[in-house]
Amino acid sequence: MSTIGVDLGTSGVRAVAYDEQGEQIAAAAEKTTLKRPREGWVVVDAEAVLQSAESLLAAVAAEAASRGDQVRAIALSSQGEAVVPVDRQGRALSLAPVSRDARGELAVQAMSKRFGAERVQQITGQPLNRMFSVYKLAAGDDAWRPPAASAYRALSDFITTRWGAAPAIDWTLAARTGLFDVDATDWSAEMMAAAAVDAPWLAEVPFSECVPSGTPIGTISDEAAERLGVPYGTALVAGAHDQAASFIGAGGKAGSVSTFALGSSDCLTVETSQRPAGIGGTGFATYPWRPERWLTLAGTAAGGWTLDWYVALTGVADADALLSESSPEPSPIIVLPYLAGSGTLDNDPTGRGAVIGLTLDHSRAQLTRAFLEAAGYELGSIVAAFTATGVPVGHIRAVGAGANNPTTLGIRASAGGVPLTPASGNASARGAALLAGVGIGLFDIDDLPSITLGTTADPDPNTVDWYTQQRQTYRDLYRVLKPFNQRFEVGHPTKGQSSYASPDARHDARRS
Amino acid sequence: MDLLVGVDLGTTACKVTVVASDLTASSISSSPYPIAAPHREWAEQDPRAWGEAVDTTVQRALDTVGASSRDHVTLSITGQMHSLVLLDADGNPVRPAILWADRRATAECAMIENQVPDVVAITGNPPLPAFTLPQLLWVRRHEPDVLSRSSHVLLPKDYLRWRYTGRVVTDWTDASGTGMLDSATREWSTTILSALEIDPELLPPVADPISEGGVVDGGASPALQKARTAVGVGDQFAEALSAGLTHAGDMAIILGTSAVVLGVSNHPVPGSFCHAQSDLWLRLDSLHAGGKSLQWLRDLLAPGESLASFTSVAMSAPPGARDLLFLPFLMGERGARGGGAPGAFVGLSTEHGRDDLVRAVLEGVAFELRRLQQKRGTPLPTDVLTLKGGGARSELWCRIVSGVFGLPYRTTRRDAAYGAAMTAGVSVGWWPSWQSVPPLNDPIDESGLADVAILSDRYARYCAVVDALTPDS
Repeated sequence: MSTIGVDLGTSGVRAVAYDEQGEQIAAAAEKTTLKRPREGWVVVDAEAVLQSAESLLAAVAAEAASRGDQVRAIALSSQGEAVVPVDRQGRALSLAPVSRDARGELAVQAMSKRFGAERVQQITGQPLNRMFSVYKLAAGDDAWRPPAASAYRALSDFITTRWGAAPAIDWTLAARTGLFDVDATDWSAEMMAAAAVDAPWLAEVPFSECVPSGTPIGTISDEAAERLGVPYGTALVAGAHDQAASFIGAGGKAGSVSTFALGSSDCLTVETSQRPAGIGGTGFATYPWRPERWLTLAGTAAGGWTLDWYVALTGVADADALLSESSPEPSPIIVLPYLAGSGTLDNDPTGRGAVIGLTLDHSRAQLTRAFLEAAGYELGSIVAAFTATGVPVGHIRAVGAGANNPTTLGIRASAGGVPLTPASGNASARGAALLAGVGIGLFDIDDLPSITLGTTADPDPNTVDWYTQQRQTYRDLYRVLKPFNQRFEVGHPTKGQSSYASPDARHDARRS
Repeated sequence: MDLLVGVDLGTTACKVTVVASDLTASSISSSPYPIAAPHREWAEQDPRAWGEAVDTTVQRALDTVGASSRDHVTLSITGQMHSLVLLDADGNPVRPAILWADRRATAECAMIENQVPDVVAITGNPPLPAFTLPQLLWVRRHEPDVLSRSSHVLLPKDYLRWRYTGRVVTDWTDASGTGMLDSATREWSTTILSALEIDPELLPPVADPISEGGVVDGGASPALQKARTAVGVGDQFAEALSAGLTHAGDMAIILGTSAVVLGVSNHPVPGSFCHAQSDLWLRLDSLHAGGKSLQWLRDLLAPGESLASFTSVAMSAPPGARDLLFLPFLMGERGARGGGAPGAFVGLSTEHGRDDLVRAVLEGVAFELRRLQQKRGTPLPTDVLTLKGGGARSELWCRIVSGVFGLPYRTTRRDAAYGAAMTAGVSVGWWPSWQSVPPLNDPIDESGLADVAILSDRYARYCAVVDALTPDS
């Protein structure tokens, strides 16, 4: 008997089957293509993601079947924020803007003025930030409005409804739309009304129903079962936002174990039994995934993405080889890794990156190390911020592709001043598969199968003092350069423009 | 026929330019000679290796134009400034030359500032490890036997001319880079020499660069026999002369490994050295990592690629490099106390590609040159900016510098070796004065002015970021 988790990541789709002990039995993955149709826009084709998920799921189910295994339930973990309008048949009417798509900037400004960032964060648990779906919906053209659009779907419920599930979205992914009331665990009428002032269609096009992660949401249609090669009646279960799924998959626990996902974005995920107080005003995002189980997320928008950018810049084909050749000594160079906006600690989407302290004597190995250290500096700052608000982080398990290299993980641990223990396998797909098992009663939510851990990377005791100082310098440099980031943004005529601009925002744009 | 021979003794190789009476010029460069670094931050060369390279290259250059012993040849040598050459009584080098790039003499600089509080007022410049005086004091302290065997302190070009003519003499341009010359009187400063107990007998007499430097006696090439020589100038001055900087207010920029703003003044201003003309002074404001910044980025991102091809990728980046700024302080900020601003890229996003980074470096160097020019109060020319050096072969870089300074530009193929030949020409009366040397007639390019608005916006931002990142600012 197995359950399958399908992970819809920013850079790729992955399907993994797990047995009753939570051990992986089959896996398949492929890359996703992001498109940039115009400056500031970053989109993914939801229909292509569906096709990818189907072919990978079929391959994994076939492999499981070849071992005499039967798939019992499927759940999805998904990147947040990516939402599409669909027609009555559930077909996507537009490309889905992903997290880093910047078209929502003007809607954010309008919301800030009308409603206030504080109120937005209080209701939704998410900071006011153009990454969230609502601001992109507000910039939507005709495809996003009635009569064409009959519903809005996140990638997860876009796919599960196509497989026969009821239109249901789990709380964590609902939260990433920016319209979910995290305390009431339902869509926020207040947010909806505020957003609808400039974008009235938002009030007319429905979202799916909100349910906790691990809730059964239907069974697979016969037609889809045949197409995917899974048994008739296979259960479909509400999954989770990928960061939440990673946390669940890697065995995260309130107070004792948190997860640090090294993906396109770097993200520390910490659990508490209550909604954490004292994070208002930061960019930390919080949501419940089950009653009395809250997750708080903090990280950088471009973690692995910044590394990918650096690797591409050097023209070196083998990224892992380049990163492994990092200088063994701490680098005197400091990188601010905000190549796609600041870290969530500062919640500044206009943030820019920097490489500071360059001299002729520095080698590429030192520069490479500086890019890796940056992830550690950011993590160290985030852990300090959690600690300051009284939220215990506990041990940190590193998950994601970036966790597999002991050299680079060790650099991050030293730079961050925190031990990092790698968790093997694909934590987010595993988390989704465990939730699928919870949905059919296979697993007890309080006693999930544990994950295999690798050797802990401890901070190098010889560099503790150096890195303590560097983390301070890192924060200081961010503060020094912050004003210039904002000026950069204003000076760029194409930034933040879209087919939508609220009357307020247009007026403000002219004035500034 | 009458021929002018200009020799430029560079730090890596020498170049010889022969100018005929119709002003046609032909040039030949030597193969490189090595720089030795026996210790960290040291840089030394064997003066005899210079001599061999110059002999061979001058002969090849004269052979190329078919010169013979019947021709009237006038020779002038220019060369790397500041570097210390010590000769014994027989004219043999007693140790390798300590080069301008050597950084060992930092303690000696502090000592000079301590013992000669007026050193900047006297010489125009604070003592730097690059200068001859700190190097000489280092030898006295660490190699006293070497100094005791020394009879002459010479500069590289003066050593080479001495080899040909036997006359020990230097000129006031080169002398003003030693850290011992009184910039106003153009004589060795007795204040400095006595405060530091330097024997004046060690130093050569200081002459006008166009005065006679003796007649060649011996030498490799028959055509050089009995050739007349001019005392000559230091290489930055030869560059300045070749760029036509002969009036107060003239300005040129050299986009070399270091980038330098050259500006002419009619009185000794801080940071200036003595110009070849007795009534002018030359400011040299240099950014150590000029073209070097570009080489550095090339070595990081595309080792092995030619600099020209690496630079050309910047053509696809828009002016302003998508808001990316580069601070070119890869070798520190010259003259900045407390370390100055760091080398940095600021404003990075994942939208940036290699083209933006390269363009940001070209712009960053131009911004810093503009900042240097403004900070030091070097007046801008009213008509045109002259750009020289290897970087001036990049049309893109020239257009960027032109846009940042808001002036049309021209480039010239004339270089320090040509400037040396001009010195020879003025010395033997081809031209009665520096002002009568034929001016540059290279075409003036205004295409860079299209980007003045965006570049001046970015320049203001650049200055603000440099200030923000400067410690204790």
